[in-house]
Amino acid sequence: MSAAAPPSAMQAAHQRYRWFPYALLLPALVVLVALTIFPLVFSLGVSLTGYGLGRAAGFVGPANYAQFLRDPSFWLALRNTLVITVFAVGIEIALGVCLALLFRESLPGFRALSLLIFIPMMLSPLVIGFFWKFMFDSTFGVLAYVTTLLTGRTVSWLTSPPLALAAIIIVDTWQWTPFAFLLTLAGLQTVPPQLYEAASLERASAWMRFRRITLPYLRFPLLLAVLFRTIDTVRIFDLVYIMTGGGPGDATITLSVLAYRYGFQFYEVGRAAAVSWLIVVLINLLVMVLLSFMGKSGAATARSTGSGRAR
Amino acid sequence: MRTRKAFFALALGIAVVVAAGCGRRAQQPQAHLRILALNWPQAPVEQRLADEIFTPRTGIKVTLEMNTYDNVEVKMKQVINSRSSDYDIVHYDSQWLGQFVAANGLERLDTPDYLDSPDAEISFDDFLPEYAVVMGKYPTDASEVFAGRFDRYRDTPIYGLPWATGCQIMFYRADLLKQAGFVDEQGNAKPPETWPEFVSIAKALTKRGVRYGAWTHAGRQGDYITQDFFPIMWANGGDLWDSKAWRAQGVINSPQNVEALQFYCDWNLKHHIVPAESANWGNEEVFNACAQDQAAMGQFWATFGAALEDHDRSKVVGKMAYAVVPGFRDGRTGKIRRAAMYGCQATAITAFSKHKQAAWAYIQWLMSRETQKAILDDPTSAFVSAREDLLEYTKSRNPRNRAALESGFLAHDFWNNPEYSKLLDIVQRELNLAFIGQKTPKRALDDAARDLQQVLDASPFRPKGA
Repeated sequence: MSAAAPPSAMQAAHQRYRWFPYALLLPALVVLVALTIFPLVFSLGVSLTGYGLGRAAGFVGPANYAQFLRDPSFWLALRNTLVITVFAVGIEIALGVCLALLFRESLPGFRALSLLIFIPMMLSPLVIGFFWKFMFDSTFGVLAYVTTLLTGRTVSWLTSPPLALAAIIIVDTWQWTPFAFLLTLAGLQTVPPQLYEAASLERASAWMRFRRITLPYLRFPLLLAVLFRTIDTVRIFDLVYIMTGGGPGDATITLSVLAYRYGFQFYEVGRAAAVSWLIVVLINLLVMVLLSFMGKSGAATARSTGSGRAR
Repeated sequence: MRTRKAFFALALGIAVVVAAGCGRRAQQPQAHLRILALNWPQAPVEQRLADEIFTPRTGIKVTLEMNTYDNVEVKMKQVINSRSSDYDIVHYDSQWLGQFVAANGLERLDTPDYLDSPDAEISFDDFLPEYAVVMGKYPTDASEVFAGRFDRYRDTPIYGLPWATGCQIMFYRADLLKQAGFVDEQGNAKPPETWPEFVSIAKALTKRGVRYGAWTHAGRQGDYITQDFFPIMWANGGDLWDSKAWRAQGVINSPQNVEALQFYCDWNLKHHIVPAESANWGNEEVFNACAQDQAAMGQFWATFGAALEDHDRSKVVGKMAYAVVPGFRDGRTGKIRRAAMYGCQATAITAFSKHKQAAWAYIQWLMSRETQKAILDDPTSAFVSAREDLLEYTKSRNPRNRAALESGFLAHDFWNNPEYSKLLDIVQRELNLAFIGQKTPKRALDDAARDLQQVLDASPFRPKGA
């Protein structure tokens, strides 16, 4: 067959409809550009202006960002956001794993109970914020009543700076532990039972079984849980807004509450956009760290499980 | 032949549909007014009266979109920034007026299209000036208006008319005070006349087993702690700022104000007459504390009193009484100096409305003597009219109205300039920290003065020469 031979019918059709995959992608691309990329780029532009209520959107360069870097409220909000994220996500993952390990044993009633565990995750954070606010209240709340019984003195959860932050972590943990539980339970289903049988024959302790068999299989779902929960918790707004409004003083202010304050209370849209972009940068940094960790961890998991042994 | 018949039938069908459509259009109202309203108890009554009287009379449909207080401010700012015609009328609070006017968001009413029209059915002078001037005119200096110098603002532009009128008044449990022996010569419960008396009565009630002798909303959110502390500050002879010089430094942190804040914080930190959790309380929590028989007395908005008389929502029906707020006795004159927190909302036409004349027709109907009286006659409305010719009738409706209208002569208000939101946020933060003991009153007010002054100095709205 010579090099100049005519293309086959298949090749000709392929040439003719080369645009077709792009046409299929187009609607999704239009939606992505219209709803995500354009607003993101537009808000970046807005963050470089002095746009506000009744004010012209004059270009101010990086002044809005510089102002936040000098503002103690911003650093306080950043610190609170990171404290809530680290503690809430850490406790959620630990509790989620414990619950999943417990529920893996098919004891009677666990199936119904596991359904109940998922309920907090399905509720609106606004509703949760309202009823926990009342539960923590020392005049009306059941939780404050119990802590008063236990400690012998009135505990004002939401008006003491460290306790108010702890209260927000408790409520976030209560709502999102089921998410870690769900992912961990799914991860546990992937562990081949033969591995546990082999480990029993080898008289491996429970801790060794967990560390050498269970944990490697859970590493990926757990990292996914950490990734999703970190992204979500860094943006925490509803709970804080309802439960404390950022108070007492500014003790529980988070980056999203700060953005809301500038955007909707002061109507300084340029500055609110700048805070929002700082949140985007923070989330992306955290995600990059976690993804690189996931990459390494994926390779380690592959080595320590089946594929590793095969080599 | 068949085709012609089919064509004829089709034409007839189209004609019938068009005629039906035209008929429906003829019955449709001329305009549909959308009102950005506060969810105060009077709003549903206003909606009912509009549906029953205004719409049948004029053909103009009216929808009140009832929102929470914070939401109305946020939505109105969005309306102004997007120049949206979604709302024709807005109910706004007196403090927001400067922001809305500076952003050209409200229609000026003292023009030939509205109040200055020969056909106008209402006049600005129909309303009590103590309420109408601060609420409706801009720019004004509240301290001058409340000192009775209304004439200085005769030619000041008008943007709104009084929609809801009131002040914070003293709510007290008459039954508890009576049992504790706080009675007048006729044997009726005697409310505190001064703030020190308020504290001693609250302490006595707490000792007698009342869970909390008093309440306060000292929350960080909204304007809660300021609205409870400022009347004490003003009654003690202090002030918020120097409105002529745009100066907060040396005014809000004056020795009188430090003393007043110490007095207020002691309610929580020293005397324990209010719940510690009240540092996170707003109207909702104060209402629950009253209604659930948990606290005996405090400042509150007259509007909430109506729901306390509802058996489904309250355990204290028939037990609550009302008076003007206490004050401090002036050492030199021996007279009691009182101050009440002004809390009124106005109604205005948005600058971007497409139905301005219909909106004006509605406002004239709403503000008329006939409609205001109808709202007053519905006990669920908890309404206080600012119409001068209904003053005595309004007072006679219930003791809350009487106390609220008498407080009008003691009223003081926040800043109403365009920097209001930022100024409020600073004061809320610092007062809240002092209330829970995280800062001393002096340090809190010094920090507030420093931050307030920064905002005032940097403001593009600062008048020349201030």
